[in-house]
Amino acid sequence: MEALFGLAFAVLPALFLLGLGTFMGRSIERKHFADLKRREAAVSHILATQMKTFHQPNSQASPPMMLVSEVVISSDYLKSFVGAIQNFFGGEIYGFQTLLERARREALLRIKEQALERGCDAICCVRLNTAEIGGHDPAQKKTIVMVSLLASGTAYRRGSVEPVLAEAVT
Amino acid sequence: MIVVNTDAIPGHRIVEVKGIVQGNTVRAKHAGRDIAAGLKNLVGGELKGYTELLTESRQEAVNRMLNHAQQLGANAIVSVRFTTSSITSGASELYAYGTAVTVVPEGP
Repeated sequence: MEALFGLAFAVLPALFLLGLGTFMGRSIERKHFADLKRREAAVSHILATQMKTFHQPNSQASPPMMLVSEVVISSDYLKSFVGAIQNFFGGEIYGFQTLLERARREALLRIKEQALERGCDAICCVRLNTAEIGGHDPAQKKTIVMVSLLASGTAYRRGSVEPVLAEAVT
Repeated sequence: MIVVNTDAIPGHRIVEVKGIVQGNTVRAKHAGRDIAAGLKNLVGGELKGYTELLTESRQEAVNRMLNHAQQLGANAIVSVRFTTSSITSGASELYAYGTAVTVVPEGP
C-alpha cells in the first residue's frame, strides 16, 4: 500500500504536467496560429523580400528605415517530453518544427506591423536570425526549451511607376 | 541618421565611406525572469521577459553603433547586421555592426 502511494507520488506530478502541456500547450498554440492568420491578413499588402535591393522605390518619399523585432517562444511540457523521446530514437521532431514556424511568422509579422505604423508598404533585406540569450547550461539539468529570433529589414515606400523607366518606354 | 540594412539608399547618393561602425552589449538575464520562464515552459507561449531582454540589448547595441557613427561624422549607416553569441550560461552578447557613410540627396 505504501509502495503504491510512493509510486503515485512519483507519477502523478509528471502526469499532471503532461496533461497541462497537452491541454494548455495545444490551446495556446492553436490560439497563436489563429492570431497569426488574422494579423497576417491585415498586413498582406506589405511586400516583404529578402533582396538587398529596393523594388520600385519611391525616391520622393522619406528615406527608408531599418526595423528590428525580437520574439522568444517557449516550448510546452508535452512538446519537450515527446521531443526528448524522439531525440533518443532520431528522426524529425514535429513539435519543435511548428514552434519554429510560429516564432518566424511572429517575428516577420512584427516588422510588417512596424512598417504599417510608419506608413511604409514594402520591406526588403529581411533577415531572420536565431538569437542566443544564454539558456544552455550543461551543469544545470533544467534547461528551458525555447526559440529566440531576431528579425531585421528595411522598410520603404513604393512608387507606382519609376519615372525614368516610363520615359525610356515612350 | 538614416539606418538601413541594404547596401544603398534610394534617393540618396553615397559620397564618402567612413568604415565599419559597431556597438555591442553583454546582458545577463535575472532570476525573476528565469522563474517566470520556467513556469511558462510548462504550458508554452511567448516568454515576454526574454523578448524584452532582447529588445533592451538590441536598443543598447544600436545606440552605441549610432554614437560611433556620429563620432566619425557620418550621416547614415548601411548594411547593418546583428549577431548574438553566448558568453557563459545566462549571459549573451548582442552585436550590431554596419558601414558608416555620408550621403547626399540626389537631385531630381
